[in-house]
Amino acid sequence: MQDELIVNMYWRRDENAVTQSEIKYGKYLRKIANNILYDFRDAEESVNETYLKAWNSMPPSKPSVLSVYLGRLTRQFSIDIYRTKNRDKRGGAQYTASLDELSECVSGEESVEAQVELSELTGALEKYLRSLSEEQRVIFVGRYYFCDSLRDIARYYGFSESKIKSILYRVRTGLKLHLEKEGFI
Amino acid sequence: MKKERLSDAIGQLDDEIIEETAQVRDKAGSKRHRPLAWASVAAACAVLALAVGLKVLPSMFESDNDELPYVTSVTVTSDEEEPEITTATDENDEPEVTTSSDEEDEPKVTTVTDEEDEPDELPVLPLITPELEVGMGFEGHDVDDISELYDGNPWTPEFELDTLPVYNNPIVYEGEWHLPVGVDYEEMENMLLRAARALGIDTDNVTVSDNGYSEEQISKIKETIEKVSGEIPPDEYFYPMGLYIETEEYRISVDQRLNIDIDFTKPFVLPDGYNFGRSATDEENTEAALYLAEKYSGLFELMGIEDPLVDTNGRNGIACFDAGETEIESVLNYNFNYIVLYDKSSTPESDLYIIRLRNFDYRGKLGDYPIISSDEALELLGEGKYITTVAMYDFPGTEYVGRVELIYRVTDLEEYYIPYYRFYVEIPEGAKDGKKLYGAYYVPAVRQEYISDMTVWDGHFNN
Repeated sequence: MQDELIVNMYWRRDENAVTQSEIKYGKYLRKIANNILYDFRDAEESVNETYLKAWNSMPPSKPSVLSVYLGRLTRQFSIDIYRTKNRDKRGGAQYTASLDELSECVSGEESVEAQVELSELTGALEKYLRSLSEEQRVIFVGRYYFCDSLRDIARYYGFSESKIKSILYRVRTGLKLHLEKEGFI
Repeated sequence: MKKERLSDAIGQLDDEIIEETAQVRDKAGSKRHRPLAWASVAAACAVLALAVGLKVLPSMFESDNDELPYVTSVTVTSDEEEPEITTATDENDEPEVTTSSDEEDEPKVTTVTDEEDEPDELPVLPLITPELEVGMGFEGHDVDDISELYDGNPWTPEFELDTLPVYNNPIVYEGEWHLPVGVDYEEMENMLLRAARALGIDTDNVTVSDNGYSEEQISKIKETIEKVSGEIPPDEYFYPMGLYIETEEYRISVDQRLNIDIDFTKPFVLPDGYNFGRSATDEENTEAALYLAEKYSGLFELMGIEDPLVDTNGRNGIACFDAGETEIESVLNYNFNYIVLYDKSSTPESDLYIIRLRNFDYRGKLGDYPIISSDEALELLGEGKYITTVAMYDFPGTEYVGRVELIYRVTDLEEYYIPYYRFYVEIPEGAKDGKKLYGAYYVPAVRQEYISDMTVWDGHFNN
């Protein structure tokens, strides 16, 4: 079913909106949640929270790309659960690994001067990502937004894992330089 | 700046950037990603308890045809003979409830189960149909002991079954608008009125309503969809999903699958001495269920439940089904034709929340398929020939099987209702907080030569 139709269902307060969302995006959302949490119970909780939030937010929200809207909710709920439960280096959790990689791009300290509006930081990040090739951008987003494993990314690009690692390394290096230049670190 | 801050900023990236990557992932990893059929999603829907806006429907669903066949139970005279379908209607105007106990008086309806209509060859069945390729939640159970996973399923490995029937899912969804096919509003209304009469309601003085959209809503939706997609949904898109009747005491509704919900609009209180619900023991719940079976005997007769067996551990409520006179009857009644009583644990003023009649149309039978034993199924399990939603853990081995039961997977997602052996397998890796984790693994009970896609499982439901 098209996203517009599903969003309309939310707006009409048609409970089938949740069912259709699950049909179309359940697997996609669980993948995001599992990548971050690596625990089926928590992943289910995160996906359920997503549907509840979707129901409560539409209206007034009217996303044009429902997958991104729901995926973003699931990602955030999953990260919140992760942080609440203080998971640290849980075996196989891609989010933990991806966070460790991102630490190369930042100073690791939160000073008053370093506190920035999230939207400004996001803007800078987007500016940098748009300067990259599509391949580099997709691999970066796959790793640090979707928290896909290197193996999964290698599979969807048909590259070796070592090539993916190299690309990510170069992109992270470039990002650090960009953030320094923009005054974020 | 901390790494978490950067991660949060990544979480706010523009939709366009996210979508670009999502498309690449989707192409690579979801070859079967396609618009899918309607599905009831118990977990997602459990999060929301919602009411849909209602309106009174004019003459659209009026019908003076009381002679529609309506199946209430299956009578299997022997394992070798074809099952006879008893129905609730005959030449009289008033539909009669028939049971499996008095064949001489029962009208017989020629259905696809009669021998002359039975296909000569049994169709080969696919296990994994497009409708199943959706996000499947993990079917796992955290328990202190395997005994918590025993419910009222009458099947035991000692049952001597050579064949079991396979049925079509009576409602399928077709086309870009996923319109349901197989819906019969006259049958729905018929079922609704019969349920009302079973409650002692005078149906000459009730109004049948539906949960469809108003003309104004339809007009607005069409306008919006046309603006966005350039297409106008067909009229069928707006057909109601259910019908209902409201009285002082009840709201009775029927869905497209002829299932009935009876909501108590006034609190219902059991007599003193009865305890019912989550705080009650199995014995107390059984006692209360049998009392309710007596009180609502009309409903139990409607469902052909003469000799109720009470399942206090399944289906999120207390289920009652007819014991049947044969092993097959008990299996079919347990899986397809039963009543569930739901308590209202969260509010003290009412003991009963909903009575749900789970109905099944046995007319869609494909045939009686030869089945394997549970021991043979265990071998197949060990060979990896199963389907499961357990993706995060490797199969630990057949030595971890805690329990096996024979069930039909009866959900909106299944194209065919096929019997399976469901194995509850302990997953040591998943143990947490002192509880054991059992994952569900399904091996088709139907012989492999009748399964088109039985291969070693690659975990693709959740990978």
